[in-house]
Amino acid sequence: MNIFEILKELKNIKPDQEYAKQSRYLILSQTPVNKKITVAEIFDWISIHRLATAASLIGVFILLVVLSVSYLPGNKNSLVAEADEINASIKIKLNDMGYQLQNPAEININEIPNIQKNLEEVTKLMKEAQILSENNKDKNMGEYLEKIKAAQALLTEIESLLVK
Amino acid sequence: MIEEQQKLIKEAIAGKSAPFGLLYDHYQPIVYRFIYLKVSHREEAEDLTHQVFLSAWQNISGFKIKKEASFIGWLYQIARNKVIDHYRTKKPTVDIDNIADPPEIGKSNEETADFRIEIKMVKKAIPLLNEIEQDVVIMRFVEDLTSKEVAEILEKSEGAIRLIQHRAIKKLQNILKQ
Repeated sequence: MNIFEILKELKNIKPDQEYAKQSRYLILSQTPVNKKITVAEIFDWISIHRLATAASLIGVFILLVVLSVSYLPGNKNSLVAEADEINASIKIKLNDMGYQLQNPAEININEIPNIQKNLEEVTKLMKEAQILSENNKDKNMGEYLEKIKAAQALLTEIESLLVK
Repeated sequence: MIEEQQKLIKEAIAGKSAPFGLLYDHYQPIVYRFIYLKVSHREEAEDLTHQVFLSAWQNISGFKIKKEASFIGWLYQIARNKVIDHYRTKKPTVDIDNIADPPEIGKSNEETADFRIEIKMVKKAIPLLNEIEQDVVIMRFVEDLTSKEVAEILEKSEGAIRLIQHRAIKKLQNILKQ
């Protein structure tokens, strides 16, 4: 007797099709039971949605900054080109984060306080950068670049903290 | 395929019944075989398999995707618990004659009368192994999973799985010799 051959043959065991059909129908007619929500989970939920709001807010700032940068005179200036590049990278990071925020199950809940703190800092930096670009654009370009570079670095840090 | 399954699992976790239905279609025969080979009784296996999937669907929101094998691992875990509960309430009675009520077995060329008898003997012998040996034999040799996959599902090292499978096969051979 070849025991392995026989064991392999047991893969042909199949449930009765009529039973399978009926069982499937009965199971799917039930509603999944939601797990009991704890206070901690409610706070987690709020934190996640705050993150989403913060990210959207930053998105608006980015859009404004990007728009203002594209209207700067002398776009051939290397500093402006660098600013464009950083802004594009920030936009990509924000898009990725927006996508990750749609799947809260994949988010590292434990890091939410740090993520939120960093996001607030990014928002602040981008707001300052926007003000700089609106006022004396040419003169403030160096400082503007520093702000957006700092924001970019913080977003990189947030990305690594965000996902489990 | 794996990505597709992950997508279905995510949608099922979100409470969508159609993706869970597709997962049911894919995994139900596997879970049924696993239970049937442990309880050796068709109706009981059907009832327990139904309970496994009902339980999985009702608790799907609590499932966390960790790795590729995690969903089937989770189903196996529920199935193992259901079988244990089943034996707690009812003493295991491996009725040899009850195996004369077999589920559908595909018709292969080798299915001679002798081969049928041998299949019946092996089916009768599997429930005589201990729980973990049954799990390893079914997963490794019936479902044809790799040692690595079985190790992930049972949360043991590959070395431990190989050791268990070696012991289980030897035990099966001894039972069949008697």
